[in-house]
Amino acid sequence: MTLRVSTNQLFDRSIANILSSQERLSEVQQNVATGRSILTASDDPVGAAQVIRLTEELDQLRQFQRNNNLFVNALEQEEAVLRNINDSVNRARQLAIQAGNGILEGQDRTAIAIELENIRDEVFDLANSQNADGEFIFAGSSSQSPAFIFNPSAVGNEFQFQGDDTVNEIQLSDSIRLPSGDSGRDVFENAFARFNTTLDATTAASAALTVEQQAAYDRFFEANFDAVTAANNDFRATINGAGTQVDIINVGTGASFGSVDFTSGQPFTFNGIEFNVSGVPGNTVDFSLDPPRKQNLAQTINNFVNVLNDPNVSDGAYQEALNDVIVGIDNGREALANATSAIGGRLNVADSILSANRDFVVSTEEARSSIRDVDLADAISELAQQQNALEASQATFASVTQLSLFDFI
Amino acid sequence: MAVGVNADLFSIASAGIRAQSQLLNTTSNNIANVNTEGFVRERTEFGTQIDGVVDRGTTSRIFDQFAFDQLRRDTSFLAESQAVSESASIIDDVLASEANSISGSLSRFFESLQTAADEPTNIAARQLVLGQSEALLGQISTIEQFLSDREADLNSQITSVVDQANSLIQSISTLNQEIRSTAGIDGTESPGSLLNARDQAILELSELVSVETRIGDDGTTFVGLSTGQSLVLQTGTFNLFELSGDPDIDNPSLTLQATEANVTIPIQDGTAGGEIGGLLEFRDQVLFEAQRDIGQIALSLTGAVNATNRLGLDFDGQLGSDIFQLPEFQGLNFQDNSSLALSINARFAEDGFSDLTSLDYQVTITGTAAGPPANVDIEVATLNPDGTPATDTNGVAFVNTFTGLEAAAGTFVPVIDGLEFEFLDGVTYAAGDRFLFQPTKDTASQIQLAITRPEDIALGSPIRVQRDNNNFGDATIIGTTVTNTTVDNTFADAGASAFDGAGGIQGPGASPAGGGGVGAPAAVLFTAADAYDILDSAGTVITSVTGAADLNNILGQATFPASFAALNDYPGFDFSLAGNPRAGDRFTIEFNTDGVDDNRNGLNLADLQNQDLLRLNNNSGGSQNLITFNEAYSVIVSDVGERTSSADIQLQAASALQAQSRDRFDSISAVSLDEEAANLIRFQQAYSASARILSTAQNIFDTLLGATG
Repeated sequence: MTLRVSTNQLFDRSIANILSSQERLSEVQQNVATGRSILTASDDPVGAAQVIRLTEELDQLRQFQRNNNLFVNALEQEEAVLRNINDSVNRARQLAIQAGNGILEGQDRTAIAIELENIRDEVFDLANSQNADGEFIFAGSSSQSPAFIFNPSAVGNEFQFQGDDTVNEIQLSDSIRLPSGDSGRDVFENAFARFNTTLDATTAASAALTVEQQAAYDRFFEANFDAVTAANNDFRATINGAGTQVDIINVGTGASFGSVDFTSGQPFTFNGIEFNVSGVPGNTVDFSLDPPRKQNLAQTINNFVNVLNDPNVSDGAYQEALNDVIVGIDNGREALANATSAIGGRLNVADSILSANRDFVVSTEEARSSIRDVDLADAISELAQQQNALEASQATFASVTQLSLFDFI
Repeated sequence: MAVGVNADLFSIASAGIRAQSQLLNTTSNNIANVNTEGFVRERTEFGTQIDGVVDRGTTSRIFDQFAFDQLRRDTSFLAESQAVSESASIIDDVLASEANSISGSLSRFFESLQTAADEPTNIAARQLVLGQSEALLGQISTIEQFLSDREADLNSQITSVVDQANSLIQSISTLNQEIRSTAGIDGTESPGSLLNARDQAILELSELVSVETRIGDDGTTFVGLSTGQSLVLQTGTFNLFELSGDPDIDNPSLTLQATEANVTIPIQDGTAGGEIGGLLEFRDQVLFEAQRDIGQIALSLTGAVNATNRLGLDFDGQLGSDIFQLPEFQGLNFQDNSSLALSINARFAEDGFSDLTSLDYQVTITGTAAGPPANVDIEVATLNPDGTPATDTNGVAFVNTFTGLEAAAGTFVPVIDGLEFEFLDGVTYAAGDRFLFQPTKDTASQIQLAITRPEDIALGSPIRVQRDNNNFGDATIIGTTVTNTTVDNTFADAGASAFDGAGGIQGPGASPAGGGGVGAPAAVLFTAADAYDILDSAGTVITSVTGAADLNNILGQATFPASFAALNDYPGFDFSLAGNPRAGDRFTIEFNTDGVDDNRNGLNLADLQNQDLLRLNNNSGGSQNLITFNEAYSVIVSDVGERTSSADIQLQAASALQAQSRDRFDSISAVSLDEEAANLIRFQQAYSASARILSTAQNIFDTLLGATG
């Protein structure tokens, strides 16, 4: 059966065809003009959601890159400061060794003292470095006051740390945060002064002791120092009945630390401590482990400068001071070196994160583009097709609707 | 054969002329009405009388009821699809556009937080956070405003469409009566114009709602909704639509009001079909959901930022405060409540941001008791945006009961899903009073910035832990946490922390241990590598830990006195160490006075971007049910996109169906000009021929006259 076709049907059908062709054409045209295949979320709901998430990820990655720049700048400044301090301190160590040269006269000592004072001031100044915003970089979170102050009336250390332990971290990637600096406490303050010992009392005719082998004494000290019970740091050496050995015990615990061969008037060594004792059997020598002290480099140098400037210093005290400054500088340099290598490590991590993030940016942009952006070649050929379709509809409209029987009667 | 019944030539000719001119009339009418909406072509048919003369003929419409019914149904479907698709695509366009996207504003907000955290002492960077907060609120409020405007437009559109439907119902009823009065007298059909007008009205009505019809013997028609309720009865009575919003006048639903009896018949949203059905469907399923989902993101995000900021220390060295001010809102009275002056106020719980849903809540008072304090019993049912009860995966509705809630002005009691209610005065409520709460609808645009100074952004942490300078061990602090900064030195609030609110931590006598008792933890002194004492600021031992397995959460490992443990989270801070502590090592905990260059809390603020904090599914809580804010926004966009795209596909299908049935109907009932042109010639020729009969008869008569004369 053939359907009867009414006049309005002819028009309606032709117009419907033209309208739908036009709609498709305008859609493709918009795709080409904007370069996007997703114009609204309904074009690809899942894709649209992905694009939103990928865009957020890209924004975040860019922020991470900015964070990274800031992080690297901060650490590079710190590294430069630490390098300068290290160079100065190396010179201070040379001077200290020079000062140990026995033939030095008072004038020479004064000259060394003057140079060391300069180095002390430089170290102090560098430890109070400020960044571009005026924040003291080693002061922790209390960055608006200097990290270190000089308090000449203080008991003990005159160069004092007054910052705190807080160190800011910076977000370098989704999961990695690294400290963008170090507290002065870790870098400068975390250095022990030379471990020492004190002669407390003796019943012998004469007794003296000095730490001669520092490494051996340090081991002994670390193993036996008791920060809680002070009495456990007291030791006693007793000359035995034959006068050939001394027996050493811990006074607090009563524990025995063995015996050392002894000849009166001759030095003997116990765990790096050299004893000079003249005595008879039964005599005792009491000595104790000095509590450990931490001392920054400026303080260490300052202590030595004070000794150098003292014209009445005894040879023994001078020698002790010399040992103090060398060991103090070495410990301080170790803390500096630890901090410097930690900075280097963090900079390396930052660098590899930077390039990883750069790769992520590229791949994320690619992923987003593949979802959101239009394939121009496809779109343009589609555009041509739709154009043809529209032209065809328009042409047939004219030919179909112009036919009317009324034209022939 | 008999010849007497034959008519004479004159009668034959005049009848023929009359008949042909009637045919020409019909054809001309068809041609003239070719573009008349609702016109059905007509045809005149003749019979032969007993004397052989052509009879008077009847003119009737060429009409196929089945084709018309099909067209009517498809028209309803098309109008419904069109309404959904057109409305949804407007929202779709706005949500997806980059200029309007909340997602971009969210990213920029968190970027600014991170920039500020990078340099906590940079006031300009903090200022940027304030700027971006305002921009974010502005963006959310723009979208909310847009959605509310759409809601208002939609409601006025529904109102006008309903008016239109009502006037169509009335005119169908009137036309029915006219058809009955003109038909039936002589058994002939009523004038085609009346039938056309009625059918056109039915078709127009079916664009607005989905209807079914039944034709009676007298030509009148019954019209009812597809769901069964009658609209036009053959008796001449009819029912009209009404819109009423109870309790929310902005959310009217459709009812049917019988004209002759005071009966109101509710019509379930989404069953009406046609344009009305489509608009209601869009409103309930797309618009209301998008509105509430965006509200949920805004409220949950600002709540989370507030909670995190409160755990921090601002640039002035004070405990952080709320950055955003969240609105309070009221429950809406149902019209059958004991009094329409009743109200219940509600607000968002300070730490309830992850419990917040996008649901509505219906609170029913189930009992009251006079005080003091007066209290009420309530039942809370959760509702979907369209007002239907929300159900769990097994189809069971969520209904919770709460008894003995304190009812006093100024007292907000926590109830459900991060909401707190204030029952103004317990005794004024009556059992059975109902209130509707819409926490996430229209509230997001009322969120405001609570701070104006960039210094108030709490980037620092309120505590700092210090390693004693002379520690012999090498343990270092690897992290501090702050979980509670609620200040209440009287401990009336079980949520109190050890912060005294005056730039310090509670000392001896000020802690929950009371006068003469110990203070809050202020130092940790190691007595062995795995044992330590926790001391207050006066050095008194609060508690000791021995045999610590690790150095994480140093305070968390301790057993505190009962007066401490009775509080929810006291002292509210903790720290972790790494390395090897030695006996005698000491760590002090103190308020972070002057700690301006501290970004510990700033990092937490920025990290909210990556945290799963928003409750995704209204059904259940739990961490597996949480997503990030940006993800939540992308879910809304893809949800609306999905609905728009399926509405679009449905629209295409509906258009194709409607085009087909329109084609079928037109093929039967519409005018073809070519056909009419041919008829015109045919009938003209017949007319000429009939006229020729007359002239022939005249000639014969003249011939006869001449022959006799």
